[in-house]
Amino acid sequence: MNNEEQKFQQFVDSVRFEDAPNEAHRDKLEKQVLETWDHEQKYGDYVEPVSLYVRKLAIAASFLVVCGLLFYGIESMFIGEQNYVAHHPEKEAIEQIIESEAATGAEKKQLVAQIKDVWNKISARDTDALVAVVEADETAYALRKWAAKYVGKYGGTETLNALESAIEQMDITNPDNPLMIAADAIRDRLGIDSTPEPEPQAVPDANTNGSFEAVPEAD
Amino acid sequence: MEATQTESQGCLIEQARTDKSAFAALFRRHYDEIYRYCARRLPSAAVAEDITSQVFLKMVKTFSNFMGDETAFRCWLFRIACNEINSHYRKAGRQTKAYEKIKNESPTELADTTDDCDSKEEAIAKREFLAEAIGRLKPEHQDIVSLRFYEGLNSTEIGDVLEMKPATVRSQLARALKTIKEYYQNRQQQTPGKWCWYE
Repeated sequence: MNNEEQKFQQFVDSVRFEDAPNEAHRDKLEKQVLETWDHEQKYGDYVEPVSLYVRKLAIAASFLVVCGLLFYGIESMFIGEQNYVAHHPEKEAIEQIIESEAATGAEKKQLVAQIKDVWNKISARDTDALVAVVEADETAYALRKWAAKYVGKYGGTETLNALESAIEQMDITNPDNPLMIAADAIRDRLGIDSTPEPEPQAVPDANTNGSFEAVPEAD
Repeated sequence: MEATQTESQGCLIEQARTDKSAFAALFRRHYDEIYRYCARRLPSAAVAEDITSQVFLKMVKTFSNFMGDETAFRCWLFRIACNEINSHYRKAGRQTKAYEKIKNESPTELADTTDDCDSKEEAIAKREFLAEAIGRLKPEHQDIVSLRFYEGLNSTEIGDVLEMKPATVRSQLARALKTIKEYYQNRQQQTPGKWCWYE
C-alpha cells in the first residue's frame, strides 16, 4: 500500500457506515437459501464444468454444421447453377450448350453437373478423360463438341492416334462428329497432313534383272 | 495451524455439496462480510438486504458448478456481489446517486454513528463525499476501490474477484484514486471543508 492509498484508507476508516447486519434478515435468508439448497439437491442437475464446456462446444459445432448445410442446400438449389454459369470464363459456350439441349429443371441441373465435370477435366488438361467424353454417345452433342475443342487444343500425337483408332473402329466419316473435329484440330495444330499416306513405291532391283520388288519399310 | 484451517475450509466446501448443515455454516461464515460490503455500496439497508439475498440465492443455485477452495469461494461471492450491485445501478440508472442516501438521512441518525472527535456536519460531509466520489467512478473502478478500502483485499485477491491481473488492478486503483483526489480538490474550491484526506 503506497502513501496515497494509506491516506485514503485512513480517511475511509474515519467514516462510520451503517453496515451492521440485521439478524432477522440473516435468519430469513438462511432459511430461504437452505430451502433452495434442498430444491437444487432434488431437481438441480449437476454438470461437470468440463462436460458443460464440451456440451456447449458440441451445440455450437452442430449449429455451424446445420447452418453450413442449409447454406449449401440453398446455394445449390437456387443460385448454384446460375451463379456457376454467370461467373464462368466460358460463360457463352456453356450457355450455348444449355440452350442447344433445351434443358430445364432437373435435366438442366444434371447437364450443369456434367459441364462442371468436363471443365474440371479441361482445367486438369486431362486429354485421355476428355477423349472419353468426346467418344461417349450418350453425352450431349454440344458438350462433346466443347470437349473436342479442348482435346484439339491440348492433345498430342498419342491423343491423335487414340482418336484415329476410335474413328476407324466406329467407321466415322461425318466431319461434324466431335471425334473428327478433335482429330482435325490436333492435325492442324501439329501440321500433320490428314490425307492417306501413299502406297510404297516400287523400284527396280538390279539383282532381280529389272523386275520390281516392293521397298521394305524402314525399321 | 493455518494449513489445518485452510484444509478444514476446503473440506467445508466439499461437505456443503451434500450436507445441509455444512452449507448453513458456509452461509453464516460469509453472510456478514457480504452484507457489509453491499451496505457500504448501496443507498439503503433495504436495498443492501435485497442485493445480499440475490447474491446468496444465486450462489446456492450455481454452487454445484463451483470448483475451488474457500479462498476462491470468497472471491466468487464478492464477484457475484459486484455484478449484482453494478446490475442494480445499471437497471436503476442511478450510478452516481448513491450519495443521495447520505443527503436524505437526518443529522441525528448520523450523529449516533460518528466519532466524538467529528462534528455532525463534518461526519455528514465525509460520508457524502465518499459516496459521491466513489459513485462517480466507472463501475470497475468502484469495484476495485470498494474491495480495496472497504474489505481490505489486496491486488491479487481483487484480481481474482474481478478476473484481472494484479498489475492491472494496481494501475486502475491508482487512476481511480487520482480521479477521487481531483474531485475532492474541485469540491474543496467550491465549498471548502475542514477535513482533508490526502495532505
